Amino acid sequence: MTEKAEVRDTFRWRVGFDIGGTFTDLVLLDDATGGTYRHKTLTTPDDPSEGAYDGLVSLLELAGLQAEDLTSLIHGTTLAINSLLERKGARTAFVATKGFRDVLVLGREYRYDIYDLDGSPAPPLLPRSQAFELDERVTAAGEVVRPLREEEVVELARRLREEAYEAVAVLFLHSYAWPGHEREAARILARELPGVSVSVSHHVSREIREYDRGVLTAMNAFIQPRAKRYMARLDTKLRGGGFTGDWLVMGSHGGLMAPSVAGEFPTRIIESGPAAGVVATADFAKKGGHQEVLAFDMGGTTAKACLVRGGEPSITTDYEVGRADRLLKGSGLPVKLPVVDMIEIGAGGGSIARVDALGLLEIGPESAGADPGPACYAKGGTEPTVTDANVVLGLLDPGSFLGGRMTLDVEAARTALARVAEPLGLSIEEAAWGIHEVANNKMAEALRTHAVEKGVNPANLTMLAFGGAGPSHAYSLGKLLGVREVYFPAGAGVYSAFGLLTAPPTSDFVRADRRRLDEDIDLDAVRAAFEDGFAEALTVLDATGADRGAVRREHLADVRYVGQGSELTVRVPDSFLSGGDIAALVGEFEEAHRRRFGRILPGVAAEVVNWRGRARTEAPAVASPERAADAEVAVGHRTIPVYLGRVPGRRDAPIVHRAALPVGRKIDGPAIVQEDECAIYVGPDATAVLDTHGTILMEVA
Amino acid sequence: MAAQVNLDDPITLRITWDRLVSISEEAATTLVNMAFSSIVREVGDYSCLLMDAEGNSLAQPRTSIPVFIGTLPATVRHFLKKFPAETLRPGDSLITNDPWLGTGQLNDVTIATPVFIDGELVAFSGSIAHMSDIGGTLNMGSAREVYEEGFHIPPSKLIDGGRPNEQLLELFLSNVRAPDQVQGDLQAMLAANHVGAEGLLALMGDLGLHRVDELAATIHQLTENAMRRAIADVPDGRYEASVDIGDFEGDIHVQVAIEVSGTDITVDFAGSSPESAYGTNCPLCYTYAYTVYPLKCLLEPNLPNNEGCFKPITVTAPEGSIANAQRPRACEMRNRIGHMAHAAIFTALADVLPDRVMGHSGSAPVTVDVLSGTRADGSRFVENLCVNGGTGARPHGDGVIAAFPGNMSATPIELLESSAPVLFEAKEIIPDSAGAGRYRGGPGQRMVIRNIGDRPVTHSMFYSRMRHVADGVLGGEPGTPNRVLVNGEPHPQPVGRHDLTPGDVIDIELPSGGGKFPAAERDREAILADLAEGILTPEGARRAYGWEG
Repeated sequence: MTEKAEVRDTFRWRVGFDIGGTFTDLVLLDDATGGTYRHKTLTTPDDPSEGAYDGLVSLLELAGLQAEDLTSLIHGTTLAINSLLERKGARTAFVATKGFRDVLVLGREYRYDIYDLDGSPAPPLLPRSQAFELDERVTAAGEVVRPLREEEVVELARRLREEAYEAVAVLFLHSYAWPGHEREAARILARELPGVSVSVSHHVSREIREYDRGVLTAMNAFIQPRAKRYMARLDTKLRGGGFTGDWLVMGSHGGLMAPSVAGEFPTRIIESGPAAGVVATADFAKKGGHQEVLAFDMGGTTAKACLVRGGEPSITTDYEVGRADRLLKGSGLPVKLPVVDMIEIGAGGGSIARVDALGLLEIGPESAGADPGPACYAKGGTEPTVTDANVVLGLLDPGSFLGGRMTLDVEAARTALARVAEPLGLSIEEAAWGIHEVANNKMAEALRTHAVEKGVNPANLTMLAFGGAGPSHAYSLGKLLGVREVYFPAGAGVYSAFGLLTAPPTSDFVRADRRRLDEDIDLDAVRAAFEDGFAEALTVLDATGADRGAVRREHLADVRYVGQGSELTVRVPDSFLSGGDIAALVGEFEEAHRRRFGRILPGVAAEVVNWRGRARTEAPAVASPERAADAEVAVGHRTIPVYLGRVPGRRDAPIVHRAALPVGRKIDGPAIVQEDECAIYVGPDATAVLDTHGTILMEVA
Repeated sequence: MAAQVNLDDPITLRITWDRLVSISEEAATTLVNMAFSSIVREVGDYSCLLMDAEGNSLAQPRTSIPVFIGTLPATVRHFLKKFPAETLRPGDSLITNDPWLGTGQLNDVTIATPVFIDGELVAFSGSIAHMSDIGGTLNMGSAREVYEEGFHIPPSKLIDGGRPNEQLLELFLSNVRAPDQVQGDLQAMLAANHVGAEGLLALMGDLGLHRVDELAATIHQLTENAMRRAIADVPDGRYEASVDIGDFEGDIHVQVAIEVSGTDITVDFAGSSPESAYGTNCPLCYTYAYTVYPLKCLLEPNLPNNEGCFKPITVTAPEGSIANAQRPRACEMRNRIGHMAHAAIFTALADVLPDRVMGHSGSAPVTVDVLSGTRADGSRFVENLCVNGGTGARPHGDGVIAAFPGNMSATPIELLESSAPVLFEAKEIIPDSAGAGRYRGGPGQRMVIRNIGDRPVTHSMFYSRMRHVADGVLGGEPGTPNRVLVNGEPHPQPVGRHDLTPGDVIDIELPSGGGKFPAAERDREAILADLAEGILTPEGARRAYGWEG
């Protein structure tokens, strides 16, 4: 898109590279013009840094640049999540307060599927046989009931050494508030066990609840050695290749951190890749002045979505990894850290349709995956998938898939669809239409539920659709939700890699501190909690090379009515911090409560449960390259018959190639805008137009 | 407005149905997130239901237990008897906690909000939630009549044409220990009903529907057909079994006879103990709920929750039986009967459904201890403590530590200790406790609690498996009993409330679950794994499996 780089001496080039399960995506950005080069290469699972580095070399060649020309590299990685999902990590010992070695194994004692008698809670990350105890105890009030004895720790260290442990996770009760014993244990273990990774719970999380904190600590210890090795290896490779700038890693919270921090706290980069797509959506929202944007990412196995309000991604601390049933809460391991709230809303293109016990059409949870894939891939798949339905409906052009490198087998898709069409007494087209509709409606329902939880009206949302299957479903999904404007970014296939370049260095913290808001408040203690948290956050930011003077501080609080079960996170007003204006903080809470539940409880006291903070610099401004309004280019002369439902039946729709689409020229639906890795379905009552930034806007009537 | 929905079209019906379930889940999420009652959040003792104008259910959330599936529609019919449709108007909400018209105990409040289109009653959006407090003695299960158990609200208008019934509210809130919380719980239910009603109206608008009774009938019919197909696969016959649990005055006997005939099932509790003089009495509505739940798990677990699913199942118990207790019997501990029904049902059906049944659950009946008292600074605390024993062996695997048939997550100890002046010396798995079998039960759990304050802590408990352990099925071995020691001395009758004086230590062992199939059939690898994990000691392995290494 950009001309060959002429000016080699101005440092203005940045690279984002996102290592995914199948592909590594790279984007080279010219900060001066906003121009980009993109490259996609296969991920090398044995050593992902290998493929990434080779991809980087190719990308630089493409642009005619040297590694020295780059100011910074931003990295998104699936390293942490893969380690956890595959349970491939260090041999890790779990060390707990005496009487509590079973914390990880007991878990929440909850059956996530109440009807499946064979269902069981997520298996613990570390077995009971790797759990040990130390005879120490501190009360909730910080009183030491039994001191930590150095000789006992030394003796345990000896045993762990003998048993060849590579990592240790330490969880002492009440350390979220009273970390003294954990600090002491960390010091002794580090001394006694050189080369062994030690994670102590208060370092990983300051939240109360021993199971949640314990799981997070165990995860951190389990993946830390691998993460540290990986960061070091990648650094060596980059430096060896002549790169002299800074490189940073995308965190699950949508902010950047230094590789040293990512290595020390790999639990903070679990959702590194998905976060980048959401951050890119936030950038899109800010630039376009869109107040409420829905990021809709539908790929082969799942469809995900995230709300971006006021240019800020929705963040959750109620996240789980490795769910046994992806839509069922409680079936995975909890990760109580800030994570972009990218929720699963349904099936992906590979999800299989079937007839259920009631004689109705059902989709998933089984997926044809990449191998054999949908029947239309002609790689041996015989089950009808969502993608097969799209092919039969004419939403995908069989000849244009993957830029024409693969032809889709329409007959195979029809044969597969017969498996559900016949028992349902439907024609093949009707069955395909049904699958498309059921999939869209399921996603719409999940989104409506999510929107209710967030106090958002779905009809007010602007949608940004990406992912391989997203553009095929965006029209129908938007229609169901009442969304009027759907955008399709340029380079949707490498959108996450682009997002890496739009993120600011960010660090979050939490301090548990229960305080009622109907009585005098010890403001000094509150300020001290924030000071302590920000000191920690700034240290993390320093490692990114961020200018302390440019750091913005956000003060937040988790508030609820006294006795209520869950909290709402609200902004802490300045007047509260400076002058103890309790009413202002309660006001923020009541506004949030009204938004969520439609009511408040006058006369009932509120209380703070946690203070939260976030320190970050401004997001880098990424220019959008302007595209001249092209001279008239010939728009598609080919058409495809698109099935629009039982009544209208099929109608011919033009196939337009995105690359050939002139800026500003309005396309009336039905039409298919074809890209290499996806196809935008423009519905019969919609229009699509390409803007000067390369984004397509679809307006739905 | 769109055309009238075509219910014969399987695609339209699927989409409409999904949306109904989703609306009920939006309501449920609202309720759970706003609720004050820990029982609502932890035990899942709540439900949100969309119903047609007669109270026939349309949809219930996938996640909430089906305990109330039968009760809410019945409660709405009771409401309609007192407040006929023509007397209801927009802005009304109806309330009751009558155990016999509702869910079998006072703590559960039912609120139903009628939904109108153009002034015509078209549906109800309802919810049930366990209140944080309902008054009464707090002396678990020891009440002799329902009057001692708390505040009783006959079917009433809580909101009348948009105006709150201030007199009723004031009366109610003056009779409970935690008025703020109860008020919050009521508001959470109203918020949930509102979300359900708005969602239903939006759906009806989108589909151009003016009534939903036909939709309800269609949904019920499809569900009923599927359930009948599942029942038809079970051989006809009469299958009987019984279980016992301990109580204040001795043992309680729960007897079931299951009659399978074609596509119908009748479960009769004749032969069970008569009504108890204390709180372990189960009104039939609750017996019904916990009878159909395990049956659904066995027969067709993935069916949606609605009356269609349960139409082929009839549950009977003689009046005055402990499974059909009559007014004004105390019934606060009705769950102790309901939760045991699964055990009798699994044993009764073990021979005909050997692949599907579980061992008896050691975590049934579910127990919630209450710790209450005054802190050093004079402030009061009341904390629920939920900890579970082991489930029975699963159909194709070992049992786990979790509640069954309840589903109660464990109380985080750090949270509890932050509120109550107690210290847990341990909360750990008991080795060698799991009922042996090809598939073993879930192990038991032990907790040791010390009063570290300077004044007494009142501890309420209700343990029933002192003598009667969870049995195995199909040759599996039984689990281990409850055991309670105070300062090292066995507590003779761990029911009701007692004080822990400063420094006192209470040591509680929770029961393990029963095994499935003979111990001799257990896989060698599985025994080795249990030895490695300390679920078995070498001595225990020898005892349970004849293990010689």
